[in-house]
Amino acid sequence: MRRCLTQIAFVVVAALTLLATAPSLIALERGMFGWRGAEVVGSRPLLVIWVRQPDDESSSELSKYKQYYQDVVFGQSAGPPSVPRNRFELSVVGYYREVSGGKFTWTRAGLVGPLIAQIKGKQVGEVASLALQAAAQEGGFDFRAFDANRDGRIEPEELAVLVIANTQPNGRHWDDLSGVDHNVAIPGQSVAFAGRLAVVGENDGFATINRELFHLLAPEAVNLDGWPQKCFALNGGRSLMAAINTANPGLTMHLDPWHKMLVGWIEPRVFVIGKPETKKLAAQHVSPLSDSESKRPILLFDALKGPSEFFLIEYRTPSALGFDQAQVNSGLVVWQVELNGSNRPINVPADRKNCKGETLSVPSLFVRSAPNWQLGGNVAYWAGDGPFSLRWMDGKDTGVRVTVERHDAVDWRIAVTWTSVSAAPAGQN
Amino acid sequence: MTRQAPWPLAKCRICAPRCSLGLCVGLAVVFIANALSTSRAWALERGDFGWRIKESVGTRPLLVIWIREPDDTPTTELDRRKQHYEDLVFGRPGHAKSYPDLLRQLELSVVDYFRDASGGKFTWTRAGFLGPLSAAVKGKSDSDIARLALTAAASQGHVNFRKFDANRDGKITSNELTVLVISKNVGNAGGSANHFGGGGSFKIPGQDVTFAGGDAVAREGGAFAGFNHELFHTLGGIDLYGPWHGCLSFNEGLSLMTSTNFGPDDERILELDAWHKMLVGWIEPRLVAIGRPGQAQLAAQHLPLSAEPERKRPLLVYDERKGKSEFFLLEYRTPFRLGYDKNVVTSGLVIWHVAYSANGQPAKLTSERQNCKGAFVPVASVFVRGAPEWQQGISKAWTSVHGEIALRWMNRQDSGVRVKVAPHKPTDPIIAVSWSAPVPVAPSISKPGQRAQTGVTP
Repeated sequence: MRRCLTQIAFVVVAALTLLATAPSLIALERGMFGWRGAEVVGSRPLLVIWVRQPDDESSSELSKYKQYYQDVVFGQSAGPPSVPRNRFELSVVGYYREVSGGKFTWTRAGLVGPLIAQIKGKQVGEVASLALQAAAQEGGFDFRAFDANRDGRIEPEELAVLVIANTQPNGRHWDDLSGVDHNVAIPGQSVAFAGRLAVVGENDGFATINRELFHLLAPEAVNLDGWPQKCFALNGGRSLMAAINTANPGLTMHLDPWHKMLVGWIEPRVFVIGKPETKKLAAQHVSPLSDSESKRPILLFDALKGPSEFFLIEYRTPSALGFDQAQVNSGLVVWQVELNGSNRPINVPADRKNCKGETLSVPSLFVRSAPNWQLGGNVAYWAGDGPFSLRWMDGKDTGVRVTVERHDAVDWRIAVTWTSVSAAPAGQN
Repeated sequence: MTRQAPWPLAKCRICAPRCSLGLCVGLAVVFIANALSTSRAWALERGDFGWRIKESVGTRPLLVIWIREPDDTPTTELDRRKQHYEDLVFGRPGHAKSYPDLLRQLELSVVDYFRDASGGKFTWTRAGFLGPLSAAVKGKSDSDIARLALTAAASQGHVNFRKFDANRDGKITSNELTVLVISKNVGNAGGSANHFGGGGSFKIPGQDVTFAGGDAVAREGGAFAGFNHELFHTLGGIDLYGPWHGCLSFNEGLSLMTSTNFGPDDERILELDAWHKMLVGWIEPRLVAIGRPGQAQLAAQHLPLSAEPERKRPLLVYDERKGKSEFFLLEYRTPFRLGYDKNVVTSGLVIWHVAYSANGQPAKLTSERQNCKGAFVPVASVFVRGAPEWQQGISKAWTSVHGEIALRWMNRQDSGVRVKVAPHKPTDPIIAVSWSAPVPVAPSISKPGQRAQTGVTP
């Protein structure tokens, strides 16, 4: 019913927009293009449980790990001496604060561990149960304090759990225990954990931790790294949801704009194709307080084609000032998106083969890379690319030509112009 | 300022006619016997092979001036960038060093870089951080930007420059103050340095003092390596990246003084080459006079000098008969994520080939390789000899797979020395090298005063 109303609202708005000669910017309604489809705002308590299969690791080394988790999950600023307000600090809490534009962050529920548990060879669900039990029994953690509505169940909104383990469980690294008969009873506390929980390795990188935590906020989130095990890695550095462990454990990058839209952390500026516009786009690390308008990505769609397929364009540039450091170059990044009736990406065949000649299917949410509109590449468009064409998933030309104003990678904001094909010469691609 | 190296060898030749042959031979025997019995490298004299001719030890005050053309950048962004520069130049407090190695990152700072590269012999002290100050810098030369920065520091920043004139002679010299100017509008090179040396001093407006100190101009948002590169110019470093705009890249990824034109806020970094460290007196090489076989171990650059005082010293291979104007410097380079050589591009034995002209400066040679336009171009005679074919300026280290490496002089003559590298992994902190006597062994006569050492052992 809600989806139906959303679609009706969309059609009305789009039709009105087209009929009038008013600016092509239109207002969004919740659900359109997936916007706020899994909204997460405010804060959420996060409990870190560190469990270890017994080994011969020295206590001094374990102390180093504990200091690291303490600082990197919750931030050094959690305790004295305080970090200056403007100093970049690598922390999960800081990451979510920046990426959400201040709309969401985690609060510290606690850090328990290292706790001993027989976790070797166990699946995520088993590791989760053992970690929760160890936290209650060995760690003395009071789970009842987080059952805010006193219904005997700790729901996803009441507490999230990050389990750090010295073993790597197989398969998916997060679990949703909110389903019936899927809860974990907390021993001796008359309460069950029915929230979501992620399991990461002791040496997993910062981005990997954040990616798994994002799954706890939005189970609908889609992994965007493609098939790295089949020589078909995609979207590297362009989205948290494409993050993998690298040689740099501190590597960090922002979410893609669609996932930010999904959880309601940004509202795109929506434009109907057909009218030329010039707009500014701010870099991802820039605070919305500096320029709330240019922080919003641009969403381009064709009213006749409908809202299921669209483009999101944003400015990405590597900057040591914030959490978008993994960018390999600076410029305009174009995301191509196709959603199904539930406003979720679908699997589509890639438009090129992998190194083994296989055609793999990928989520219909990926970067189109300069200079040749390559699927999942990591080269941003810049002024030197001249006007370039946007193409639909089926390869047809949209008629839109996009130009990026000349910029310096250190620029906090860039300008982008798009025109219809009648107003500009044919571009590249 | 560079002065001619006082070569002890040359001095000996001058005085030699006064010595009796017997005395000379006797002294030589004593010297060699002593060297062999102690198995220690002889102490160099300042100036030998260029060692310490631009000595920079102790500390120097560093004033950072961030100057920019006013634009629409929000104040919040400027505040963040200012904090970033503060931390990047002078360091930041934190727990990072107490994290496990697998998870921690190198916390970069200019001050720490110079402290590390010099083995604790040199660093900068904080004279201040100013900015962002406003000035019309668009379209200006780097030299003009440096003048505008000093002017703005005095007027807008209220810096009392006279307090840096330690000896009260009305002139601030490099020992008294170095200025790092950060500006968005620097030239195409991405930075430059030393605009006030050699009579180019600048009178600070409104203050009875002249600035003739070191200055480095670096790009706003520039790479960390670029800041250090320009600052090292103020200590006497020279560019080793090959001809400027010569489309012929030299020594890339092997020295701070090669190209550091990395991306914005890029944190890639690598160590100085052994020659530059020797030049400023931060290391004393182990001398290897060609003539006898020997072996030695070399420590990777990320190991602290305090932990490896001997194996951190590069090997300087020279021929007593040729003199000290041409030699080879051998060092071990390997990337290590938590050290300032983390982005060195190769792992193994790196051989630097150095030749001086008569004035004791690196000579200008014609390149052995053609540039992208097919031309042979002038290059400084300090470059790496890359594997596997002894190529000039090619950044490929030698390893055990290369077998015997023939050291060849600039005139392409074979020195006769064969160097071998023991098998190693890039993660190894130490490598072993050995070298042969020339084949056939050339007759060699030691003279008093020559500091010949053979068979160096760590």
